[in-house]
Amino acid sequence: MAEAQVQASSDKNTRFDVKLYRKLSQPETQTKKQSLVKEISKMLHDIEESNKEKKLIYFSHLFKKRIFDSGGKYVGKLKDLAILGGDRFPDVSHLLVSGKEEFITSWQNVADFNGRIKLNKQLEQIDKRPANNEDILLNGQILDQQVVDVNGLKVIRVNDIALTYIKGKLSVVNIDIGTKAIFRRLGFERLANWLPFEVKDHPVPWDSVEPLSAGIEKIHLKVPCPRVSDLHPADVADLFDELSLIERTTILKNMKSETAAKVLLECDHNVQKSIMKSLKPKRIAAILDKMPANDAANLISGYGNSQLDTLLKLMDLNAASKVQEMLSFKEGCAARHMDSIFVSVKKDATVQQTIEVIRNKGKLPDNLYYVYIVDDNDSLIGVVSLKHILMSDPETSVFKIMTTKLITIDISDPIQYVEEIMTKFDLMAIPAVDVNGRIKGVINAEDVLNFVISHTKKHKPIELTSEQKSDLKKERRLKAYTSRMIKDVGQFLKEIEPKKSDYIVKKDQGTH
Amino acid sequence: MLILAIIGPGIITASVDNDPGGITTYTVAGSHYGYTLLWTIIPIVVALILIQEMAARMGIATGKGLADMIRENFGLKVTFYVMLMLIVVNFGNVMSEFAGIAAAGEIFGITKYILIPICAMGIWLLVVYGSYKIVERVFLFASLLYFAYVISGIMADPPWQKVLVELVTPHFVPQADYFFIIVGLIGTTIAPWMMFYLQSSIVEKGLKKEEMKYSRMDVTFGSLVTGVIAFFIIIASAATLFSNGVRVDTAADAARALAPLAGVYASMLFAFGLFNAGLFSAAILPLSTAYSVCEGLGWESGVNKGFKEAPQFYSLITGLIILGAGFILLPNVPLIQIMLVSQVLNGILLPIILIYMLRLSSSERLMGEYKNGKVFNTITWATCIIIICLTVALTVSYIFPAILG
Repeated sequence: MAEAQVQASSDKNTRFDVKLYRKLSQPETQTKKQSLVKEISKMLHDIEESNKEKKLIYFSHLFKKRIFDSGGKYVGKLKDLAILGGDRFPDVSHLLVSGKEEFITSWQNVADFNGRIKLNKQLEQIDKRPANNEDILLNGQILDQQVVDVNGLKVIRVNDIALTYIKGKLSVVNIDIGTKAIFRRLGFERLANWLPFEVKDHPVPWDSVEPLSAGIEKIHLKVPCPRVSDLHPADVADLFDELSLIERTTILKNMKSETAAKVLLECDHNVQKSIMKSLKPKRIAAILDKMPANDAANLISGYGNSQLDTLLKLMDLNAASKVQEMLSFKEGCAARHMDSIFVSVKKDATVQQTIEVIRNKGKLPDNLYYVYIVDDNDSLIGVVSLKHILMSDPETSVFKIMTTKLITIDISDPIQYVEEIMTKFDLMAIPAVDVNGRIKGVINAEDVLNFVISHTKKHKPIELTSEQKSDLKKERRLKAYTSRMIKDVGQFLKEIEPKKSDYIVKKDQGTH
Repeated sequence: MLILAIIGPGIITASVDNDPGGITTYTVAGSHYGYTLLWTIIPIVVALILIQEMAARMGIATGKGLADMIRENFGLKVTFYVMLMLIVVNFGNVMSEFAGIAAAGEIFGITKYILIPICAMGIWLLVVYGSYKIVERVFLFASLLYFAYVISGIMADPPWQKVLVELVTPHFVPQADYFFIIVGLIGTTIAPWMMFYLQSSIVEKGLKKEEMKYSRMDVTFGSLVTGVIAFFIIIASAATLFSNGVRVDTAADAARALAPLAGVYASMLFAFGLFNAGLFSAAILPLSTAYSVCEGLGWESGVNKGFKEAPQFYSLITGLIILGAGFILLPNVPLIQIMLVSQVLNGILLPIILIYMLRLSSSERLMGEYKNGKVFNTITWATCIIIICLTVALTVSYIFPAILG
């Protein structure tokens, strides 16, 4: 019964529903989630039903519609609709009327909107004001502009906007990027049906859309909608390929420095260069602060002395000195690829103390494989794997369990050599020491991998076709979307029926 | 930085500008009217510099392509019709590129029924699978060939005093053919697709506002090169063809303008240049058109995407190449006429594009401190109006030849 309902809700969300259905109907999760399935399918069914009743109203049909006052006198033509930012599906709040004069008037003055647009007052009694910067205008700011489809991870252009009545209020539900919408805008809607090939609408739900132009970010402020800044940095970097420099910079400007740093590092070299050029030094410094020193150094190594000085002065003192140290090494040597964050303890430390050190370290490397043991002169004398530490008695001295058969490389060794050593000995991480045997950083397999990939790209034996790639991408996004939907539904249930849904959501989380 | 100025987008645009349609139009201008059309060169080049500077400035200030800007500020309807016109005009241009290739084949004695299909196939593969950067480089190198005209023009030893006088003395001949050739000259030199192409390449390059002056140098230099080559093609053909009373009807006639330089090899040199130019412009034009149209109408574009992902993009490229080549394959098509008419179409579309560009680049909201100045606007609007008048005159003179006698 539940299955039937989930399946039945097949419209534009078919693919998602099938996915969800499959996911939910896996044997091991089926029993656990049965109640959730029921709830979801009921909800989807309700949405489906209400969608059937509600006809979509397209902005292209409303545009330039004639407006009359309560006395039947012609007022002007509908030029634009203003929406109230904030809601998941924002309500229409005002109309922009263009007649003898151009003015904005409240939605409350509308008596009838379905046939001809009729106001409920005489023309003279209507409240009027000119449009201002606070208004979010559908035609002026959304239609024809580029927006980011955060779920589809694409930059799209708005061809039309679909509205419908939700709880008696006219609200925006979709933007449309399909070819049919182009025909509608051009006034050739009927022609579309005569064409030998099918022309379709391609709706994108309003809540998965984020405008690109600066100044209208406020649209989504109140609702926890997926935003560009919530995407994985690598996905944002992908998106950047489609954007112009100015759009990239706008997005970066609105991001936290940490996120911006990650995004920037995921970008193509040329994209990095152009972005760095267009950001203000202060902002660059703030972003560099949040990067690993070696990456920061690589980014700014091409800069002239005076530019470098300004940047370093603007940076956090600690970060700047690390970057400066990195810059003193030649490009392509081990030091430029090492992570200067690692865990080291003195030789007299116990296992318990070592664990404390790790816990209190604050910033840890992304992957922690080894703890390094140093003597009183900070010279590297041994290494213990994290596994060993976890398995050993807390009171044992690390000196006893460490291995002294060290494989190290010199910080000035070329990275190619490091790669060879790491492959030969199958190492996940290798310590880099200076001439005095002091450990300066750690080179992780992933750093070397990045280097290897970026230098062998041209000779890659198997290249996925662009279609394969896009299919894989879609698959991944769909998964992300599904899990987000499940979470959303959980949230929704929580809101309407606290006790019952709490139980369901807990169960749901338990299975993840 | 200097390198940027020398091989920037401006010079590349300038070299695509000298395509078979351009060569033919200049040659016809020189062979039919002698030196009397030389005076058009200076105003055309001035207008070219102004307009290209405007395109470059718009690209740098907004970071957006021209099609994007038209869509965002004038809406879908305007964009649709502008794009439709661009497709039609550029279809003419693609056809003229293939006409150039066919004409070159004629000289070498290769039938177009073999040459054109092979070239069309090659171009399609190059565009879809090849690297655009390589196309651009090769093309830039190949266009050095046009300097042959400079040498040929000098070796033809025209009456220099007369040339200089004609260069600054405007003439008006109230004849449909005369207007036709002037609109053609304007259209081939200041081609509409070029604005889209130039602005996009500037955006692509990610030029900064501080680099505006290099970009200005770049487009000015490019425009001057175009002008110099046009000048020499006209005098070379005036000195060799007009003085002998030859009217250009076939490519072999046109080739004689290179005789002072290359003697008996003139036709080989000409054919080789025409072939190169045709081949590479035929690669760049469909690509540039597809990019502009997809940008404006919000369709997926890019050669790194598959057909499934960007169907309209690939359909446009493929359609333009197949139809453009296919039309040339019809028996007895007049190649020279096709090349000429396509350039006149360029000239007719130009003012429409210009008006939108002017409105966009005068907007404080979009351009900020980089908006058009008053003097600039006056000159460019005047250019627009002149071109419109010429187009109207051309149309009128065709419909009512009697009015102009």
